[in-house]
Amino acid sequence: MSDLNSALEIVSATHPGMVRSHNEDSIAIEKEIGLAVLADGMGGYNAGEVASGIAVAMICSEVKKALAKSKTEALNGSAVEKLIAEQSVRANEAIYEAAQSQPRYSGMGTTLVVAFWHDNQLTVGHIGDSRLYRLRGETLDLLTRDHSLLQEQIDSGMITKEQARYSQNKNLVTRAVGIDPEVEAEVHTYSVQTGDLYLLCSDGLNDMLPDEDIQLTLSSLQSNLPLAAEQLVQQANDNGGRDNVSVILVRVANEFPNRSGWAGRLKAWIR
Amino acid sequence: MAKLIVSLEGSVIRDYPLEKERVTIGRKPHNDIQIENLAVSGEHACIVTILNDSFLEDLGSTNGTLVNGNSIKKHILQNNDVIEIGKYKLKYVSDVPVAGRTTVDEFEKTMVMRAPALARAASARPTTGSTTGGPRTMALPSMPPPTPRPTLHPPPFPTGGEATSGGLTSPGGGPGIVSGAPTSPDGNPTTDSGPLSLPGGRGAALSGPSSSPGREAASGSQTSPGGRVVTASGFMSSSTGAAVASTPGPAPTQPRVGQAGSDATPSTGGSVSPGVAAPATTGEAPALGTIQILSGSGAGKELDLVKNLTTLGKPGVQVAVITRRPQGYFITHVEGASAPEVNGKALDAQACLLKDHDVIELAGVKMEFFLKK
Repeated sequence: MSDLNSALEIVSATHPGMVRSHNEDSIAIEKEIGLAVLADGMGGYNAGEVASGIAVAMICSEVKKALAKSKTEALNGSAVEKLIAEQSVRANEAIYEAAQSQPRYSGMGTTLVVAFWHDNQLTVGHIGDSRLYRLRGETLDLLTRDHSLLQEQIDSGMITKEQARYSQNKNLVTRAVGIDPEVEAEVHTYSVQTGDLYLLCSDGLNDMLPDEDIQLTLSSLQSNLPLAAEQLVQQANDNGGRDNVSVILVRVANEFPNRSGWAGRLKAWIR
Repeated sequence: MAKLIVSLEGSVIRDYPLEKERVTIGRKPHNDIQIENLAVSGEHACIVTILNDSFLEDLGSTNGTLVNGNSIKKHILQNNDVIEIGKYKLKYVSDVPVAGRTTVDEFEKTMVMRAPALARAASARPTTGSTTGGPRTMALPSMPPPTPRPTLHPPPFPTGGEATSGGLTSPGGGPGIVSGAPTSPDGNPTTDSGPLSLPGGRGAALSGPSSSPGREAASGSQTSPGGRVVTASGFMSSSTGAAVASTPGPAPTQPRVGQAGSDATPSTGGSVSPGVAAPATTGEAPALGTIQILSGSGAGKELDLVKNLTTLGKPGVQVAVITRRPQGYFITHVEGASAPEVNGKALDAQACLLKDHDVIELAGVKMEFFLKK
């Protein structure tokens, strides 16, 4: 394993917001393996937390297991993509089954965004409208595309991004974990540069805070990640805080080439 | 349901509920809202309603369409928007929720949209569409009856599970669950409204651009890459259907999806948008904060704190951030071994509320915070 521990700085914050009584978001960070997972649950009573909790816990433990198994051989990019896709499917099955078998969990589901840093790359998988942004230099890019009605409307040219802010259909996702027996995560891999700052967030952030404000906050406070995370949540709440808000910030401080495989070890030795 | 209140010179003429997916406005008699005035074009404008959103589009009218005084081509209607066509004013009013019926909390909850009604409408058209009611809206992929689907491509739903489902699943099995079937506010499916989605609509959505003739701007291309139809497809495709010019027969009543959404949301609309635009709105109330530099080379310079966040200081040495919040301006230490001072007192980890004429010392520079009236 590469030295992800020193390469990544990770902080997180989660808040129920100003309106909701409880927090249905779940987040998890496994810094040693370079994994961050965020899920925004939905469902009555506490089923939302249950769904997001299951998703996050399963992804973490399964990815860890898979990494332990393949300790000797480094996972390459496509293997990681496959791993995340598979684990999303498994989380979906687990939640779906729980929802089917226990009436109180009926109808629960969750969005999911999984970010996994490995070998100077980032693999992102997502389902639903939880997002991953990247701040590189001064530029904030959204690396995930929401699985939501609104996004479909934007894509089809029916409304503009500007109009989308005022849409009343913000809360309709078109894919979620645990609702149908099958679901497919959208998985992509990006190359990572030192200095990149990544943000995973639930829609409670980006529905309340325009991208420009997210960009401003991240770029002006990147020297103090805990403060940046706190400020993001605070601004979302100042703007109304209508939903649970969760953020995970990950800054890439150093390169993290893979050193576990044969080639990696050789490279490390040559250094 | 949203409605249009048509008035002329201040006197109300009539209300038109936007109960159809596509409502046309024009001078000719076939329009849903006919305005017999020569300033109005034959087909002047139309309003497409999808879920809780209504989109107004000018259909190339001679004299144009105004919304709140601005000429528009396309516009997403907000509660209380006033549309002007000729001398006529059409006020768009979306439902005002009855107090106590639903909390804000409920109607903004994330929900999953699916398309079972569509799948079923296409495969077994006549009676289905109402598996809903209960909390389980699951349309299993294996479920769709193997009825031939004449108008569709052979593999209509490449994406397994989600594609066959449709409608809206509110989590929690709450009352928000709706399949494509129009649902009455208490969550009971009202099956009587007939088949929901035109085969045409769905066909168009599924079979790609070529098969939707007369596609209009409002409908756009619904075929998402990879054939992921789910979504929108459900509703948007039916919009396509409607938009594909004069659909055979009267357009079906619009799927009044999710009462959780439909009658509850409008109120949200009013409140959500300001929320989103809040930095401006909420910030406007307190006076504008300004920093004036008192010492050093920049002495005398002023900086208006118009942004939500303004960082001050030298990166790597000492940096503070001033945040603009509804409660006022706050200063927080960002980086640097020593903390900035306010009125001679070093900041701790907490944000500090700035008062008029507070003096900040940061990286060796003194500056004064004051509020501009």
